Amino acid sequence: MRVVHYINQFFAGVGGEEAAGTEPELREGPVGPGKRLAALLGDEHEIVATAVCGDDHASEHSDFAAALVESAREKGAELLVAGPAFTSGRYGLACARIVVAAAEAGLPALAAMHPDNPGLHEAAGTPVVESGATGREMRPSLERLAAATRKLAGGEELTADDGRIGPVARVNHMAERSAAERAVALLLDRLGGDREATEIPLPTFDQVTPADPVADPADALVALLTEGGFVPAGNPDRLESARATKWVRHSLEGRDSVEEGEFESVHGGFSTQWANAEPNRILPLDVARELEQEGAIGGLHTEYFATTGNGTTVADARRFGVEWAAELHEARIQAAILTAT
Amino acid sequence: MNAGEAGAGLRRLVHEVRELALGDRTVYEAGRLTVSEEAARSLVEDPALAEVGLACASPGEPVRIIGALDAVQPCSKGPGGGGVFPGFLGPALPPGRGETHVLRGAAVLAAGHLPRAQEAVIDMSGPVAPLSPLAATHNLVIEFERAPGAAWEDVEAAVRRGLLRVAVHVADAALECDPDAVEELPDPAATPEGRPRVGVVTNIQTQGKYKDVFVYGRSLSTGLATLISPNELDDGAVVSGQYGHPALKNPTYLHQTHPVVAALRECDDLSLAALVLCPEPVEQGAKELISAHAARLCAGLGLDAAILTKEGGGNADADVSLKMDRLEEEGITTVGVFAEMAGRDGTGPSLVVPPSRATAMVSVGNYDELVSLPACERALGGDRLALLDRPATDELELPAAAIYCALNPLGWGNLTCAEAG
Amino acid sequence: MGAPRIVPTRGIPYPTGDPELSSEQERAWRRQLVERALHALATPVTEPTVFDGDPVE
Repeated sequence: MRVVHYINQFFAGVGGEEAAGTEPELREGPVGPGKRLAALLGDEHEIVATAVCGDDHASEHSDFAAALVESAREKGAELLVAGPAFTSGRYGLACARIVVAAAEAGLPALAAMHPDNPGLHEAAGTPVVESGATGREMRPSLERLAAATRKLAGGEELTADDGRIGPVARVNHMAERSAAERAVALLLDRLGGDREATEIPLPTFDQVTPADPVADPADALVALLTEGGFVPAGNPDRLESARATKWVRHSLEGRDSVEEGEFESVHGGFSTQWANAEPNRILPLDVARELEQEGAIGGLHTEYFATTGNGTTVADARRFGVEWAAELHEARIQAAILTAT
Repeated sequence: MNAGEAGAGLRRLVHEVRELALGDRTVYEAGRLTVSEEAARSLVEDPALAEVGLACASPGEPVRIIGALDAVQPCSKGPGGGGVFPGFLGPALPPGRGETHVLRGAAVLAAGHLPRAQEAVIDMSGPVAPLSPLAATHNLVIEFERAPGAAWEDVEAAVRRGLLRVAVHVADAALECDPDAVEELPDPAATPEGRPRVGVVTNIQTQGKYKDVFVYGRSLSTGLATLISPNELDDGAVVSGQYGHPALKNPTYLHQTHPVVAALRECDDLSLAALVLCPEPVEQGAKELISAHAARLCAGLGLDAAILTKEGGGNADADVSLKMDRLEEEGITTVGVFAEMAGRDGTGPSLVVPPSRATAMVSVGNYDELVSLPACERALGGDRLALLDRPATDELELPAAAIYCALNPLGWGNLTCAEAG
Repeated sequence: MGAPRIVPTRGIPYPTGDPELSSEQERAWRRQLVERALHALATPVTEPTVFDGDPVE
């Protein structure tokens, strides 16, 4: 089969963080880890091209994926593989997005990343196989990816035995009885001694490995973040009051406090009367600035980030988190205080 | 009143509505309800409202209602209502005894704009119709415009009062008619012995203006768990003023016909022993207090089991989960009705705050999954759907979350969710 | 929800405030919360940890 392989700017040899804005391009043949992958795939399959995109570009322009898939099809691609992305969040998101775009275009596709990679949950049912945590585990990660690719090329489903990871989609359908009738039936099952019966298995939440502490807040640059729908009065960016699909950033430079009439909350999940009367109740700029002036905080970030956490999908929230983390890293921020409503 | 005959229970006199039309006089005859346009309009008119429109929307018609607000089942105990909707039309006293005439298959529904109201869509026909209880009823739709300069609180109060008045007005037309069915609803205290005693614990939203629900005309926002007879629901003891979360809302209509209460009344193996209404506070400490207190109350009532329902989104999951855990600690077996929020593709974690001890959960579906609505001929409640900025009659793709009561947390619907494959 | 360092507050609509307090008291409460957050940020943790006491100097 004719295979197109997706990698980021780092593995394509363009550069690290400074090159993360690299625009999408398609190169002839295998590149970087694609060379070993091509060898592992054997003679039956050929990596005809390598799709490359900078992690920042991919994170900020979700349409990069459809465009690259289109180019890949023009090259005669019959299958698309992405990664391994290890634990790199933006790279993982990009891999997930491009395999989803490929699947939507009718191409078999799979990605490889570590189970902790936040991109895993973006793959929306498109197969992902497990990789190691870092590039040091490139060899076994590529071996697993190659084996899974051969199987997928053969038209087979990938399973946990192939190292498949990620959530299985839950899909709506009409039951024969109403939820109320099913609740009564479930209660009878439980009263009858069945301790397991349920329609919703208990969810497992992401395990987040806590970041190392800052040595001393007095030396740290700290950002203020919130999911309280916190915007300048009038909501110039039209941040949604529920089911947010975006986040906003606004400057705090020259401000000692966030004042009534200048900022407001557009959160649709609670009464905003208290927030609007005293915006520091959502974003504690007044006391944070005081602590900065007293030297207890090394410095406050020049802007705050906000979204609305009200019925927001976990997928969107995860994407905001990855984007915020990348932004804060780039701005050399060491710590963040996120107010949650 | 025939309280003597019915004892402490309620006798429901059911009049089926199979046809609805506007006309000169309000008449109910042999399943056909005709509503006087003039009488209905004058019952809704208020200084806070500039314009009041009336329309009919019946099952199977190519009609879409957007901006659906509250809906009410017509009922009356005597001319002028005779005590239904206590605290609004009747005196603020517990109802739920004697006889109540009900127009089954009909609803009075308001559609339009209110602050904090999220656009709620009902298709009266087509693939999405089976998702909404109000697509199965003959609806008298009240459309309105705010009077210039009127306060929105006054607009909301006028619409709510108008809905209830019209619901009583049309039910009054059936007071002298022979019912299609007579249903005896025994007092919960008189339920058969020897069966497990089940309580229905219904959390009602209490998040301030436009997101509040009334019991005897009062907000429960500063209150604790309240025990009422389930039969009081039929008489409108609980009235909704909650306009957020279209798919996850509990309109007055569904409190009056509470699906879990109805299912327990139908069940021969269990006794419906109590209805406990609880506020859904926004503060964590208050959530914990109300949960612990409600669990003690249920234990004090000698309940063996409980079914929990909520209203609203993820934050309201916490109120159900906490109560389930506290109830299980009291030795009361619990089932909770939950909506899933698993993302458009269904792969996200389903619940924001799952219970930790109690695990019996019923799913009313994933509210993020998209549904397709074909184009329709006529729209009520507005011309454009602001959510998508499209003409209201267009072909639309919307999350199930936007369909009125599609994931009704009182358990009305058949929608559910499971792993693919 | 997996957040590693958590400072509990008093109400959803006002995470860094409390409208029940006078404005001086409320500002002092807010400062206390942000100080707790800074203390949390400087403390090693291995799992979701709630910081509801005041930092010990």
